[in-house]
Amino acid sequence: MRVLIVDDEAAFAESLAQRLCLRGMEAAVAGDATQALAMLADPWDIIFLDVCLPGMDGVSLLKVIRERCADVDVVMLSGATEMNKAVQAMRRGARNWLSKPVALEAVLEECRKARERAEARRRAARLTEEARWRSLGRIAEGVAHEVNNPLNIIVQAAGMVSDCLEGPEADALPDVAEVRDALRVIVKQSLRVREITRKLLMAGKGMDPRTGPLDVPAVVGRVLGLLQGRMEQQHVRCETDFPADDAARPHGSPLELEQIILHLLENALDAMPEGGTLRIRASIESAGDEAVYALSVADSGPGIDADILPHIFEPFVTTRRERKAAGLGLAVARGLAVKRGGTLDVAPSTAGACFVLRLPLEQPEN
Amino acid sequence: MALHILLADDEREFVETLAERLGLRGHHVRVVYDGLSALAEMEKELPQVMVIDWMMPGLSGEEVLRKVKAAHAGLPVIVLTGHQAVDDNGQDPVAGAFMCLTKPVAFATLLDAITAAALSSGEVRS
Repeated sequence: MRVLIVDDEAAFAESLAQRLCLRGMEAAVAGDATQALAMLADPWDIIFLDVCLPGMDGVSLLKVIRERCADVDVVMLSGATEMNKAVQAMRRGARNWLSKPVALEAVLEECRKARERAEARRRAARLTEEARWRSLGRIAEGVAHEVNNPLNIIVQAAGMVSDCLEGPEADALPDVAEVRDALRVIVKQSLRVREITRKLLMAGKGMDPRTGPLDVPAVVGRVLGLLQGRMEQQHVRCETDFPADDAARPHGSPLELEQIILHLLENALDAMPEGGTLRIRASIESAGDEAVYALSVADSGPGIDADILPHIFEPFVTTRRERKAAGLGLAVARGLAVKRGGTLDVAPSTAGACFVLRLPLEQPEN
Repeated sequence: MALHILLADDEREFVETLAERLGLRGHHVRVVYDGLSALAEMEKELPQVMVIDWMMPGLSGEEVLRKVKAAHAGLPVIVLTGHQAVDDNGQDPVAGAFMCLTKPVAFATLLDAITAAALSSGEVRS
């Protein structure tokens, strides 16, 4: 639970923060709006906001907070004479207000409610996300079947013509070389379409339901091995950092994890054609009430354009159109993560792009 | 190496072209368009390799595969699917097939698979 207290009465704010920390929360203090705004980049679960602040006041700051972090709960703190402001704040989306002097129990109660709401939001978001990928799976299955069968006929028919153009008599036909080339193009492009339907299916339905505890460093090592040549060519350095061997392991499918990591690393290398550093870090993180395995992949490239960021996990979104990338890599990666109860997101980053894969931990047996 | 091959697929245009192309390479090919006929044709004269579609009317590829394996465990079967054949329950429905290829299948790949299947007769993918 991460709590931000915005109040210019330093003694009150600091002591409240300390008491919350004693109860296992992470609490920080901002003395005015400027400080608070600078701290908004960090994720907060709840913000306690004094109505009366020097400079920009609490009600105006609330408006900015609502715009920048839609999900965070804000509870106003006000003196008895500032009730009208507190009411105004409630209209602007504050969750509640507490009048000063504030009892610790009231603060803890607000924190508890904020945690419950955050849990409910996470569950709802998860369900929506799962439903989206399931529906993609159903569509992809239909598309794959309906497209691949005619495609198969096209490939064999083109092959049949190729067969008829074999041998010395055919060599004498006019333009035979061009016709043979054209047939090769038909087959090659048909197989490209198959690759696209295969990836769509993978994103929606998963690729291998055999799951178990994952040896993440081993899988990462395998993928790095595959990409070693490219990394050397592009002068990309790699730093890895994994939790100790005896740490909890995530649960999932090794083949799918390999695909996810492969897509993330290929994207990272694409972002660093002139060299750079690839950072792969794993840790056990707590999200809500449960712990998850978090694996981050960060590159030192130019980062992700703001216009593309909201769409980056959608199928057929690509920044590499000129290289004929279909734009399915991240869609596949996220689909596979969601299928196994995990998430894949872009993490806020000041330099380069950073993706974080979170997977549920393997539950000990019994 | 001329092989006796039995092809079963309800996509006639595909399977007839395929038969013709395999014929051009000296193989003896029989063609059927559904699962039941595949089993009947198999019993008339045992082929060296069977190539079956996964989604066929009547008896599905899965059932054909199971029945072939029950009657002639050593007869290699190559399965063709319109899409990957992994079900949601973690079962591998093509267990027992010599190989599973996704359509559209490159002819060279299928030809290699057929040759490999014939050579390894008796061996089954576990």
